Amino acid sequence: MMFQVLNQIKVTLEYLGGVSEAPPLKSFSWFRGPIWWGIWWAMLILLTLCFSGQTSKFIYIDF
Amino acid sequence: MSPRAVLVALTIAVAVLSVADLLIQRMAMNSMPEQVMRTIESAPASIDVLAIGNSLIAAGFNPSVIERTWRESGHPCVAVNCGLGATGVIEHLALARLALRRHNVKTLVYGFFDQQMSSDLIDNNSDIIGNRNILYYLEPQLTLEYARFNTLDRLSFQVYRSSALLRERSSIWAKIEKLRRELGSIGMPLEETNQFGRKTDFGLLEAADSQAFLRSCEKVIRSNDFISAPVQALLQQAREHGVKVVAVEMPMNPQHVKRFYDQPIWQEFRAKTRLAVESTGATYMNASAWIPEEGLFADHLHLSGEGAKQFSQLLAKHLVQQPN
Repeated sequence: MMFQVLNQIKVTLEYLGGVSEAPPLKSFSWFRGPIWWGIWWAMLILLTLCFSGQTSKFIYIDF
Repeated sequence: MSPRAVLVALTIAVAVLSVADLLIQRMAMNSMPEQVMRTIESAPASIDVLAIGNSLIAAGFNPSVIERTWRESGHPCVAVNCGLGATGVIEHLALARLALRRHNVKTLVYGFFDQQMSSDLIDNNSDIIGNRNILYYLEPQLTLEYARFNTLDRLSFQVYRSSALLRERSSIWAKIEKLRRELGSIGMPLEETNQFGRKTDFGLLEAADSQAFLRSCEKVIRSNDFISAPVQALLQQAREHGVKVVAVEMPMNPQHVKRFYDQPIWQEFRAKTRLAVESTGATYMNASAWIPEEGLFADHLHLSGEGAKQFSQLLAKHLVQQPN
């Protein structure tokens, strides 16, 4: 059971990371749809933006 | 993926980003720059004392104490604090212009420290974070005129202006930074903070040592540019509006005074800056040693609440005594 869950997480991450072309499960076939990819790309851009402040001369937090 | 699927995915991504952009724009409606702009806009038509500057003014200028001290000397007074933390001379010019457009200002107090009036210009678009993002929406032409941007920075500035996600990026970073600090503080001794952030961070804004301070002073003395172009514009525009300008060398922590201001180079720097300020018709007021007790400072740079009251009382008394 535990192995299956871990394996599922692994294949899902591999799919999201581009290692594998096939979606992890049949029920996740919507992963192949362009709508999902659009949302996924936007989420990645937003996450990058959120965590890109570390290299700035960032001191104050009174914004 | 087929080209059509890529196009659909891109459209969806742009739509999601547009929604995020609107959300950030909404979230930033109550940011510090917006609050200061609203303070100016909602102030009475006639302002007796308007204070402009960075966090030293924001923390140190107490309008209630100024107004009370003036009233006690028989003068009614409206005092407004438009200090905005972590800002530079271009932002100060933009805020002063906003106030001068909307109000009849009698006295403008411009608070500064160290070499701020001579060397506080922006070099890169990436420097415009935090409260400095006011430059994207309050008279952006001033930034293009005074910032030392190359072509790429000018282009980036225009792109960033058009997107709240980019313009207000530091609002998001602030939330991440707060979360990071909270997680980092688990099991650690409590760090001292004040209204602007961690107390120890403000030590980073001072010169690294007395030699670095000396070199900064020497650089300005060699260039003979004691007042940067935006400050000159501020002084000139105030003069055109008939406003009396008082450039105030803000009270500094006694350690700062001892380390930096007691050096002979600072006496020379101060004398030349005073001459430059007075040549524009403004007044130079040295208040750097007005608050000699370290306990009246919240950190290396900012006055505490009690320190601000004492400074504001002294400032009001000096302003009242000055000839019109």
